Amino acid sequence: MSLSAHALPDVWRASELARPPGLVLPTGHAALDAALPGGGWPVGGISELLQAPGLHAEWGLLAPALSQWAAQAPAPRSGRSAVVLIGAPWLPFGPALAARGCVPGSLLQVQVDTLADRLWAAEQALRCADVPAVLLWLGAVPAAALRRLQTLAQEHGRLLFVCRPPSARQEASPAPLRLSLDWPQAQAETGGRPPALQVEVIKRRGPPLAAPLLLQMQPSALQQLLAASHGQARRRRARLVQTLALSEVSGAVDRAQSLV
Amino acid sequence: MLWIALRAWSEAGPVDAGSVQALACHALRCTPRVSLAPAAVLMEVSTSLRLFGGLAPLLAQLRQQVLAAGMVEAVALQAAPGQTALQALARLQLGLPWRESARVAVGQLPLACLGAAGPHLPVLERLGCRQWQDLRALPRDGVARRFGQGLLDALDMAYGDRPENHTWLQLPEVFEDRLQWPSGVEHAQALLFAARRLLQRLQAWLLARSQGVLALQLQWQIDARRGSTAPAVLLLRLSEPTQDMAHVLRLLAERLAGLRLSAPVQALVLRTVETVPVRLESQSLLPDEQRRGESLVQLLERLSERLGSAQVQRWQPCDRHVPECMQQWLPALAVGSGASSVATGLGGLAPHRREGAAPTRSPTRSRAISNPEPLAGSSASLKAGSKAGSKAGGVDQGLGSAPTPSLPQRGREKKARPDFAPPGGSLGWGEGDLLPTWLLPQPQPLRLQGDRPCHLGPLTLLVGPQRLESSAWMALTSGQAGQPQPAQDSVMRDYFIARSAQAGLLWIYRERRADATLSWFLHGIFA
Repeated sequence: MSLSAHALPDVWRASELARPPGLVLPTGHAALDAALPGGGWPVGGISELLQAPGLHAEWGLLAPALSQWAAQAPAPRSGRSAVVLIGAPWLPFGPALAARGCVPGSLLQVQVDTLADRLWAAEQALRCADVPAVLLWLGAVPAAALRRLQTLAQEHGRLLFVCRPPSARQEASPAPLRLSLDWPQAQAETGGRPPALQVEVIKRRGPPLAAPLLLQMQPSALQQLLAASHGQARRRRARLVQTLALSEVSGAVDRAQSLV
Repeated sequence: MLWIALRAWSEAGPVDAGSVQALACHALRCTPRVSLAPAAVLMEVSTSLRLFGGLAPLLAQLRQQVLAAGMVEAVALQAAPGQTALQALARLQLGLPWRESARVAVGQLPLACLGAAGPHLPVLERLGCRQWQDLRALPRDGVARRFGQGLLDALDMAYGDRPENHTWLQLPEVFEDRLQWPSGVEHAQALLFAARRLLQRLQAWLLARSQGVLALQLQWQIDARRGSTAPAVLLLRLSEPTQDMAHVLRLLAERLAGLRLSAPVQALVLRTVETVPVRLESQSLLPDEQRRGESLVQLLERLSERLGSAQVQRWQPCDRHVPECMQQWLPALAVGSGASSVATGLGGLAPHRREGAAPTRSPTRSRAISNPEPLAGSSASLKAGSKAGSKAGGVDQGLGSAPTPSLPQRGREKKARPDFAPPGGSLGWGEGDLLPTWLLPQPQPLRLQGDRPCHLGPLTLLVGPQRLESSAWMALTSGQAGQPQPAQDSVMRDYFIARSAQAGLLWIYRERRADATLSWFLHGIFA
């Protein structure tokens, strides 16, 4: 007797990616899509992003998916929906987000400090019919609270992204997907390109990912600007070195003359 | 004519007058002809049967409204039919289920169930009259002489021989109801349970009138012996008319949670302050079309109620070129105080885009964002700390250092706009692609390590400078456009895109004040 994959959707081979029970939302990054079960963010579950303090890659990673999801948001009748940000570290900058596809007018920012208030606000937002996605920034949090959020997100079919510090990596988490974000250490010289983000899949429904992914997050206009600026700087430096070499030669001539 | 008499029961027995009123409100949703009898509601439904598809669906809907959605204290609903109101009322008093009471013939109804016969019951009993048909068989003039014309008229009305005279129920314009306790309630949370009962009655009233509540007032009276007798008032305003009492109850719970009662409360009064007609959504046939959960406005109200309205913010664009003035995060409820303004605030993509794009073409912006002459020693690409730099000595200058003679003149002459001009050739940072996605509410001063700014390690400047002149907008913001600015207020910023090993791409600026001091600030993060 053989187990057919079609008979039991919750059972998958250890060497294959699971087929998620709910919807998935393509991330907008092809390399990341290939590494995620079903090919995208799980709708109806927590996606955990572990970021070092000071590192921020939320918008580059999430903006493509959020813009797409807000467009097909499950608020067909009222026509108004909002992506809720709870405890965001800084102010989202509207003009930049608009250029990256997010509609800043559809963002709702909730500024709360205490953990209890953040969790409460997240629960309320997940229960709201007009909120397709919730972004939540948390520090140290009990696993029971996360499990509660996971259950709610699953029940209501919402996208929930939880950004946490890297210290949470060793803790158990009910999230079906956990990513650790970092800048690669050996990336001193990027050749005029913006640094690529190193995404490590800590947990997914499938085999562990062998090597971390490198993703380019910045919009193409910014990449081109950085490349142009880098090329220009290189040319300028080459000219300077040339000038300096000439001055050294002349200096040597001067020294030689003084010796004579 | 088809009459239905209704009575509701709670665990403790028949419900009180307030609940009978709420029951009548529910009955009003089935027919406009409703009248109140003592402890019962009478409704005439012959004209409504076709709309509801018969008597059984009508009763089922009424039962569902009352028991499932409406009054919690009612655990059972009893109904009885009749050709006239008195027949229905008499059958109701039999206490039988609908089917059995409908089978009882009119003539066999006991006289005890006819209200007008109440005072004469012992005499009628001794005469051998126990049922309506017995009394009807007696000679009319004799009955009129012995018991008065009133009993005869009531009997005629009960049989339908004489028109009945009803006072149809009309709901008042303003809902007001009160609950009283002889002993008093000491905790604010206990008030919530009482408020819940009142809200259920309010819901029945709103449903019957097809109205939604915008503002309501909860008033409680404190024990007169315990000091102040002034009633305390709690006014609750909603941004959208609603009939959803669960939402109102949650808001009340937030308000009552922070309340301390100075003395036991003896009475609670609920009153509507403002109601407007509400348009109901038609229910969808398809299951996935149905909404799960509350609406966004309800979420906003609840979050604002608990966390403070200033903490729940929504984005508003501004027509300015200075980064921190290009946007505002305003309290969401203030942005959309009414239902219509919320809609524009939430979904209004077009106006945002338009406002965001217009200043790009405006002359003020293109003037204000000029590409400055690169300062000596600050060429963007020089990387202090690299090996080549240390060897080359004077070539790789630390950033922001004083002009050094070793720097070639050519760098200073370069006036073409090299750095911030994207390939498309647009002006300034009108292209949002080149702006950071996080903005610091207050620019954060950066520490200097030697001449290099540091933020979680030394920074490498990649692109820049792009100059922002402040005098123009300072004049605008302070509202003194005509007056010359004081020297210390005129600020000049050169923006750079910098790279940090730990934090990625950052948006920093160098500010040169009038006293020639340079300071570095972190202003945004390319997340």
